Amino acid sequence: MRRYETVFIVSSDVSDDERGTLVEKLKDIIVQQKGTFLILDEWGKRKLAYIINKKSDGYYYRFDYCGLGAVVSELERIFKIDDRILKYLTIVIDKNADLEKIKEDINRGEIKKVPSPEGDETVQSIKEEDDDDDDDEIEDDKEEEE
Amino acid sequence: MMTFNRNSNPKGNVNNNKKKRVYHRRKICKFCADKTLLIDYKDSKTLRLFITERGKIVPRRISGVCAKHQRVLNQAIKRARTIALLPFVGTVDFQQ
Repeated sequence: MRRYETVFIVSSDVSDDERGTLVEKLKDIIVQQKGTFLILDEWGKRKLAYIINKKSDGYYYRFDYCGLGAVVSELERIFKIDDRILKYLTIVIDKNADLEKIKEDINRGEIKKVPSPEGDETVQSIKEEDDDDDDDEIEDDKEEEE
Repeated sequence: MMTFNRNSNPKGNVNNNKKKRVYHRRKICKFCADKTLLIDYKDSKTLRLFITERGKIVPRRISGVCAKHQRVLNQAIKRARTIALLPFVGTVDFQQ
């Protein structure tokens, strides 16, 4: 069993309800693929460091979960299909995760939610005017150590 | 006798030495000095100290970070870039 961490960005056009159901759906995928969902972090609406699909802001989420490779491949397959997800990044936290121990740690409060980085940078409203500088990052951003 | 001459004689040498002395300061790796400081790609505030205004990674000879931590830092910055926490190029403010 490995422990993974996935950060993904949901487009800011998506309504709150829709985002909620989307996140639930993604959580279900992890469970379906025999993974264990551990923590969900919401960093809220943040300004992106560069424009993705002509959007300059998005909602950040972080999943912390355990599972095998199948979980990641299924999750990333969905990420690729879904237009509402601007970008994602999955990394391995622990190659030989001990599920019991992690659960204990969570119960004891040793594993905490990760707060939004640079809280001051969360944005209220940004106008979208820029069309010129539009670096399309279509490549799959998947960083996984073997 | 020879050594005495060298020290006292050419002006150029003295100037060079002075210049070097001005810029010579012992740099300490920030992450070695403070062991509690962890390098994490999600912590863009810390990472921002190690990139230039243009978004380039600051070389070790300038920042003074040790080789071990520079490697970790490198990966963290690159990860932060893929998830749009740090820019590949230019500042964050360029959008407006």
